[in-house]
Amino acid sequence: MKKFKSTLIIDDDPISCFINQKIIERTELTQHIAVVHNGAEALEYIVKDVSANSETGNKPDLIFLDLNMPGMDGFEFLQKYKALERNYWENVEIVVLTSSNNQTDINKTKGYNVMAYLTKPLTVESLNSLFKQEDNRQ
Amino acid sequence: MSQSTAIISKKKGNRVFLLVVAVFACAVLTIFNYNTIKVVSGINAYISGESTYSKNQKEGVRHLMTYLVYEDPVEYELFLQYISIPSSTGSGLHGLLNSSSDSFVRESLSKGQNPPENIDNIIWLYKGFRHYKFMQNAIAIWWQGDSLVNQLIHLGVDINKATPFADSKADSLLKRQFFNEINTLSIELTSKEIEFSAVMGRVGRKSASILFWVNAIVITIMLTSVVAFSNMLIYKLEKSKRKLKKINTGLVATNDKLDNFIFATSHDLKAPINNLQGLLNLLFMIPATDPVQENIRNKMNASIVVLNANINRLEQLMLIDSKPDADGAEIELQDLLFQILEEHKEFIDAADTSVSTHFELEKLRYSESGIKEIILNLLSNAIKYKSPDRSGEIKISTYLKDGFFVLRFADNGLGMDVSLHGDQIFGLSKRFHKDLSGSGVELYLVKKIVERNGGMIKAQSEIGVGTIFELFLQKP
Repeated sequence: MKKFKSTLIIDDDPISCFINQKIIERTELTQHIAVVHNGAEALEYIVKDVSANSETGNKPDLIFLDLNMPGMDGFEFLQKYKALERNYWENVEIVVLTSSNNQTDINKTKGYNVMAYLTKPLTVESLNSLFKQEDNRQ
Repeated sequence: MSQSTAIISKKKGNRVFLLVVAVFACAVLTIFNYNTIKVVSGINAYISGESTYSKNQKEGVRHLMTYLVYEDPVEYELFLQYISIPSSTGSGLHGLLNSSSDSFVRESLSKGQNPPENIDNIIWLYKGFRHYKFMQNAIAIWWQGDSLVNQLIHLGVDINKATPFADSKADSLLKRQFFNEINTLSIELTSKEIEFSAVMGRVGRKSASILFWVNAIVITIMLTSVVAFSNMLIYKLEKSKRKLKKINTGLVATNDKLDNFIFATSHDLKAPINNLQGLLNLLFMIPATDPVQENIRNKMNASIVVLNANINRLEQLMLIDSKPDADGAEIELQDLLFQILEEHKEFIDAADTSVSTHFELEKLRYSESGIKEIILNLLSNAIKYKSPDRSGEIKISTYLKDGFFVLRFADNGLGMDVSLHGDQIFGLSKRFHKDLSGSGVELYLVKKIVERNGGMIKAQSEIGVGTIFELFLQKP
């Protein structure tokens, strides 16, 4: 199964963040987990708090993104994130993780190199299945 | 009666009044024009009668004078013959004045060389207008003319009695006197005939003038009423249109609000349920300390799964659109089905069901999300109504039928009595059962998606054998 260096969870719901964090820890998918609560905080984290060029920094290479959040929502985040310089989003996997399974929402995330669209709650099985598939593809 | 009811009633009263005015004006115009035409025809008949009267009278005078000169009896006969024509017309007039029978009047006027259609008009005009001044004037002149014609006839008789004339001075004087009398009568008759024509001509011109003005006035009234009536209708239509537009705008706004409300509510409901499910999943990772605890955890899990599924379906139902899907694309059915079966492998395997396909048509241009929803819902329906006595078998095929791309979905499930339930099988059940198997949402959704994309769905089923759905998706 593919391993990641640093994972960023973007979700406004603290319980959801807690569950996601626990499940990700359980799968040992990543060495480091950071949590932010909306798109703006995520961009700030990515751009300011982490030196994108630093080898030692925790630049996320996996993002779990909720769509419906107060302030900057997931769609706006995707737009602004992809508008950043290439080195911020290159080789970063994005997994949309939301309670909505609305087709319109799914369609709106197309075109942003979203790796997968998962519905909450996040489970060990869904993560295993997702990254096992990813391994097979590679 | 409320004020608004009173206003509506008043407006309705105005419309009825205008309509009555227009209809009444129409009737007046028709009756008036008919009578005017009759009057003008009557006047023409009198003038034409006078013309015949005058010509024959003059011809009679000519023959009487010739008879006086040459004393040829043939000329006297011709005089009597010609003078009898104005004389007969005169008898007809007498008949009219004395209220004689219609047949006598008609016979007399006919002898006076009046055509039958003119006779009708002469009688009609006399009867209708005998008390009017113009008619009395005309009759008086005619009467005087007739009296002169009678004098002429008597004079003719006297001349005939005096013939032959001797070559004496006395007879020569008598002849001259006869000449003078004929001449005087002829001049007077001509004067009367001119006077008669003048009277009738004046009446004709006056009738034409009245006809013009009455028509102009009545048509103006009629047009005014019709225009006012039309304006009222147009105003009413525009008011209704504005009202409808307002209602429509309100409905659209309400609908948008409802959509937002459903979205917000379903999100607000789903978020904590998902969290509950997630927390429960975490709890499952910790080994249970006693069997009761494990039993409770399992039951909690089952309840949350059902609750989650119900909310998802409720959301689907509320958001289902009646507009055709916009995301039309060329779809490889085999690939799509493979993808769906892979995604739901666990669910299908757990239900002890196999799926086989036979696609005569492999590609379909359709909404990808729509066809995915259709297949998923039909799969879910087939598994839900699977027979407990045998493994489930689902056969999916495509072919062309009646010009339609048909997707056929056959299962060997419990089956149902289609003749008994009819189209109700595609209806929405009134409540969501705790056990999902009773919800009936799948077929409702399938029918909605097929229909909004211009297709139709047919079902055949036999209890204990299975069910076949034929989806006539579209004409390729």
